[in-house]
This record gives sequence, structure tokens and C-alpha cells, in this order.
Amino acid sequence: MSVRTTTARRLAPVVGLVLVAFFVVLAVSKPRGEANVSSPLIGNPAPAVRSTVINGGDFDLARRKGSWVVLNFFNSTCVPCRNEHPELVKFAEQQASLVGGAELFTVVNDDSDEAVTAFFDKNGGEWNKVRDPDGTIAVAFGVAKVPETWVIDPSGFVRMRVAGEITAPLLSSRIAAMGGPVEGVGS
Amino acid sequence: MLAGGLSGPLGRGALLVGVVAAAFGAVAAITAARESGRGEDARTARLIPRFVGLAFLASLGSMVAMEWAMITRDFSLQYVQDHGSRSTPALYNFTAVWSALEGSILLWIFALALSAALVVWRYRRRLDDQLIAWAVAVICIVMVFFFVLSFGPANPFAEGAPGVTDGPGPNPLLQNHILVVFHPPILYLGYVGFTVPFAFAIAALVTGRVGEGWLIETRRWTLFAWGFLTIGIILGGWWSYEVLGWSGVWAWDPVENASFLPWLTGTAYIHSVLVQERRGMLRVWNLSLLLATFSLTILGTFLTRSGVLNSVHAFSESDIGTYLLAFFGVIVLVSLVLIGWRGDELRSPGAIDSPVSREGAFLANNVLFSVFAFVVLLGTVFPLIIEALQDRQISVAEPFFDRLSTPIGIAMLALMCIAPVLPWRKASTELLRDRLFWPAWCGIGALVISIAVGADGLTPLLAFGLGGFSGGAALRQVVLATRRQGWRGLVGRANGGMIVHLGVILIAVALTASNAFTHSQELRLRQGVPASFAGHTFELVGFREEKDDRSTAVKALVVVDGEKAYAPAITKFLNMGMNIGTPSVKSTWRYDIYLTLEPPVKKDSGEARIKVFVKPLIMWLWIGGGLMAVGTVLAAFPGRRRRRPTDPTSAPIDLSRDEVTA
Repeated sequence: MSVRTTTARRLAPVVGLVLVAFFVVLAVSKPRGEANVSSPLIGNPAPAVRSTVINGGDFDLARRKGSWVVLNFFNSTCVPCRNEHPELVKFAEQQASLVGGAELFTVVNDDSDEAVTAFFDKNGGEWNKVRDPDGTIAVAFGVAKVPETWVIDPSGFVRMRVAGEITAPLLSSRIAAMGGPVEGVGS
Repeated sequence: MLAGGLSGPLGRGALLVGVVAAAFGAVAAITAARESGRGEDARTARLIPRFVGLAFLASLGSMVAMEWAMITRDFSLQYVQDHGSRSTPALYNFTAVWSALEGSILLWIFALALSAALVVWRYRRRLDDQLIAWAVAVICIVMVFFFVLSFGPANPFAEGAPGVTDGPGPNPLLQNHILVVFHPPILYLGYVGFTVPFAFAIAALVTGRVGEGWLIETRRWTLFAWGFLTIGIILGGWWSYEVLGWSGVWAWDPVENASFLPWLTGTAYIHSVLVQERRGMLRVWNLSLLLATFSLTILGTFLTRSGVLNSVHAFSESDIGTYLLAFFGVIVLVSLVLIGWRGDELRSPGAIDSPVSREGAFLANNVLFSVFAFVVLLGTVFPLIIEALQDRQISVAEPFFDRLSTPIGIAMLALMCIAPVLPWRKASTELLRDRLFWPAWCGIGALVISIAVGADGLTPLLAFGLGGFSGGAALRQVVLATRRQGWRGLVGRANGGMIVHLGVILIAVALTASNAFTHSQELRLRQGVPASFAGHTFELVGFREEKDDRSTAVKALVVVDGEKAYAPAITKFLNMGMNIGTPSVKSTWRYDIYLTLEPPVKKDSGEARIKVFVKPLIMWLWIGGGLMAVGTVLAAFPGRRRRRPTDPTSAPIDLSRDEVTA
């Protein structure tokens, strides 16, 4: 009995310590939010996707190396896509004012050229809209639902995936935090 | 809609009444316990039913108010704006109430208040008993916490922006299968049900009545909580299978783990408690398991609802994390302090004589379940630990869990072969040889059949062989018991438990088979041109489009084996911008053929990409789940009261105690 008592006495502080440490870990963990979704692609080279742009020209992701690229998967009938559009316009303006600002591309998901053009004519947004007629790009990235926004760094590595509506400050600040262009620096 | 605008204030009012009633209930119960502790007439005890009854009515009222708001489409409430819509069908509109965080807390409270009311009703004549009064007090305190949570940070009745006349409806995944009606409430009954044994455990520690009395009081509660949790988890797997389109039932997602953790510790407890009842041993351990089970339900809710972990169940997130974490901390602290304080009285009177005995097997069972729980907990929170230490994000996925759960599962099967036939105290070699004879032949038979139908690989063959062996062991017990006692051989803890074992074994075998021997391929089907795969033919005969206010669905009609058309679909939910694939499954007792339609769908091309999974034995998962449910109910029936002289016996237990549960 006495042996067991001493063992228990010795074990108790250890158990307590582990529990306290566990509690601290839980207490300091930050909510990740719905926005930031994991993907096996993160930290890996982006898929080499190619397509055409609605207003003419080709799109080849591999040739965008050297600048930060933001892909926004979009459908003109999807309500969250429409909601986040003003934020994307703001983001594009912000980045255009920076040295080495990110390039924004809309990747059209299951939608017609006419509908997309009409939407952008009405709501603004001068950036390129990439066609994805058979969903190859969406499949290559593993897009679950629109809108989704992906960030690819100048070396061509996927750095972030955001599912759902995004805001301009979030996108800019996250890109800056990953070593991208920062407002007020360089320009 | 005059009444519509009222549900907000009414619901909130009900929640406030709930907070107050539960708080007074706790105070009354503690006062009654102290009165009776001083040997006075515990008159305050008479107030307990009133307060608990009021709290129950309050929870019912808030639930009804929320349903009413949802049904009348009362868009003055934020919750209805976010999760209701005019176009949601009635059934899914009804379940929309628990389709997000705030509403599911309401459901939780309702289940909790219901348990509280049942406890008070069950012990209505013994409320002045210290143990009961303290248990009621603990339940009331837990109830206060959840009422406050719902009244404050997770308020489902918050007013929304004015002028909103329609909303997006619940998450599309929560409005296309009937199981949304059953899976969440049943799971919650399981979670919440563990509050009752937890409360009795705390009461036992507080009052110092740490003997076996409180165990016997809570035996059936624990069993039902465990049963509901089991069924809830299995229904969750079924739902995932029927809805999510990846053909799996379990993905080690944090929310799944959150339900699995208390199930593991709860299962361990259900086994080890027998040792304490029989031999008075493992007292600290049993208490710890119960306290851990309840803590883990709260921890799981924290992990998945605070947003610290990503999950496919991200239907709801908010800032209630801090509250849940604090509550978890309090529970763990109180439990540890109480156990430390009562430490000396918890010393068990006996020791285990031989590892090859019933109690030895239960101990081994507990080691396995605890290790399993530790592995799952570690895998679930490991990303958080790494993030705290190294400030980078990682994810722990299936390979980790699969690799570690396979050997544990095999060991559990092996234990299930031997444990049921072991007597208490000590087993001799001859006895084992005699009792294991037929079960072992069942195992060899299962192995031979598996090899004959083409199974290969070490793990699957081991699982099938041990499955046959353990199934034989469980059947042997059932057969012997029914031969001795007729239908009574099916009820009672030991016999019902063997039926549960059979269900578990079916599930283990079905999971092994479907994990190891699934064939899948993506077929590019052209209309009118049959394709074949894995011995089955598939022919695309056309498309069907279905439209309603909220969605447009495209279904591909695929005739399987020339018999019947199955229609995997992709549904586009207009409000959400979400495409949801819905699988279509042909189920037979030998295999399932699981079809999903892959985007993009172009009807005019006369072509469709169909992913086909041929999965063996899936139906036995659900049959096993049903058997577990049946076994649990049978186990809850009182078995034989008196032991026969021929039964294996052991240290004496006080049989008069059994009268209490009768």
C-alpha cells in the first residue's frame, strides 16, 4: 500500500503539469476562422495550368513566376462571389499602387463569357478573367466551391487558400505577412 | 405575422427564466444536501422539483420559440436570417434550428434539462439523500452554464438587421438527407447523458460515499448515454456515406474525434465498472474515466466550435470558445481536487490475483481503450501543440490515425476472443482450452472462408480470423445463457453485452473489408455505350434536371448491371454558390456499388464522368450498428437477480444493493 501511495504522490504533480500545459496550449491557440482552409498543395509548386483569357490572350500560370499571383474562382450567379466583388476591386487597386503588387486573376467557374463580361462591366474590375471551360483549373487546385481564393508566391509555390468570402485587408495583410508587397514600403 | 415577431422576446425570456431556475435549483439542492448532512430535516429538498421543472419548461419554451420563428420565417432574428429561407422544405426548415451553433446549444440545453427532470422524477422520494441532492446540484450547475452560454455569447434570439425578407437557408449539406433529423439529437442525448453519471461521481466524491452505491445508481444512465452516443456516431458515419460522396464513413475529422473520445473512455468505463462492482477495485480509475468522459464532451465541443481546428463540420463557429475552455478547466480542476482530497478513502480493498482472469481482461481492455483515446486526442490536438511551440500550421490526417488504430483494433478483437470466457479471479489452462475450443474453430473457419473468397494481406486476414474467433466467443456465451435460462439469456448486462460485442465485430470486419478491398475508378460514360468495371456493367441512359426555388439538380441516370437506373446528382444551391454532389448507392448484403457524378456536367455532350466505388460488406456496418443498439437495450433490462451456485463467483458483493435499481 505504501509503495502505491508514494507512486501516486510522485505521479500527481506530473499529471497536473501535463494538464496545465495542455490547458495553456488550448488557451493560446488562435481561431483559424472558416477562411483559411488547408490543402495538400500549400507549400508545394502550383499546378501548371494553362488556358485563355476572355478578352483575348493566353494564360499560363508557370509564366507568372516573379510576381505574387492571386486566383479567384468565380461564378457570376453565386451570391457570395457577388458579395465579395467590391473587396476584390479594392484589393486590386491597393496592389496596383504597390511596387511588385500581386496580380489578380478571376478564374471563371462553370459560367459563360457573356455573363462574366456583363457582370464585370456593371461592377468594375479590370483584371484578366481566365476561362476554365471544363473545370481543369478548378480540379487541379481542388476547389470545393466558389468563391475560393488562392495565393501563389513569386517562386510559383501555393501559399494560401481561402474558402468563402474574402476581404481586401485580410488578403493584403496575409500576402504582406508572407513576405509580399507591403503598403508604404518601396513606393 | 403578429406572433412571428414575438418569438425573439419570448425565447430570450425563457432562457433568462432557465438561468434563474437552474441557479435556484443548484442552491436548493446544495442547501438540502447540507441540511441532511447535519442530520436536519431537509425541507429545502421539496423545492428542487419546482426549480428543475421550471428550468425544463424554460428550455422547452426556448426550443419551441426557435422552432416557431423558423417555421413562421421570422426574419427579424439574426439566426433565421442566416439559416432560414422561404424556399427550405418544411422538414429541413424544422431541422434548421440545430443546423448551426446557437441553435444546437438550444438543443443541448433541452436534452440536459430533460435529463435533469428525469433524474429528479426518478429520485423524487430521495431528494433529501445527500448523494442525490449533490448530484442534482451538479446537473443544475452544468445547466446554468449552458443557459448562460445561450443567453449571452451564443444568443440564438439576437435581432438581425431590419428589412430582411429572406435568407440562404441551412448549409446545403444539412438539407438533403433525412438523417439530419436523427443524427444530431441522438448524438446530443449521448453527450448530455454523460452529465448524469458525472454528477453522481462528483456527488460521491463530495459526500465521501465513494463505495459502489453511486455506481449502481447510474448504471443504466451510463448505458443509455453510451448507447445514444454509439448510435449517434454510427448514424453520423451513415450520413457521411450517403451524403458526402467520398464513399467513406469516417475521416478522423476533429468533430468525429470529438465524439469518439468520450465514446472510448465511456466504453472503457462500462467495462471496468464491472470490476469495481464485483471486486471493489479500480475505484479511482473508474471515477477518472467518468470525469474524463464528461470533460471530453466539453473539450470536444470547445475544439470544434471555437474554430481552433478546421473541420468538415464547420457549420458554426463563434467566440464561445473561451467560455467552453474555462468550463473545461473548472471541471478538470474540480475533479482532480476532489479525487486528491478523497484519495485515501478510494484505496481499493483487493488486488488482481491473476492476469488471466475476467478482471485482468477488463484491465487489458481499459489499457487498450485509454491508449486509443490518448492517440486520438494527441492526433486531434497535435496541430495546436505544434502551432503553440513552433508557430506553424500542420495537419494530422488519416495516415497517422489509420496506422495507430489498426494495431489497437486488432488487439481489441484479440481480447474479445478470450475475455468473454474468462472466469473471475483465475483461469486454468484446461478451462481455457475447453471454453475456447469452438470459438477458435469459428476463427479458423472465418479465415478459411476469407482466403477462399480471395482476401489477402496480413491485417485483413488477421482481422477476419480474429473476428470469427471473437464472434464465436460471444455467440458461445449467448448460446449457453439462452440454453440455461431461455429468453432471459438474452437480457442483462453480460448477455446484452455479448450482443453488443457481435455488433462491434460485424463493424470491425465490415470496416476492414471496405477499407482494404474497395475498387474504384472514374468512368467516362457515353450515352448508350455500356462500360464495365470490377465485374459490373454501367450504362448512361440519360440525364434528368430538377429545379426548385433553392437549387437546380442534374442527375445522371446510370443503369447498373442492366437492372435498375441509379441517379448520382450534382445540386447547385443558388443562394450559397455551392455545388453539392449526391451519390447514389446500390446496396446488397455482399457489396455496395457507390456512384458519384463528377463535375463539370455537360448534358448536351451525352457524356458523363462517373466515379464508381465497389465496396464490400458495407451493409454489415449498419447491421452491426443496429445490433449494438439492440444489445444495449437488452443489457439495460434487469438480468437474473440471484446467482446460481454453479456460476463463477468471487469476492462477496452486497446483493441487497441490487434492489435499489429494481
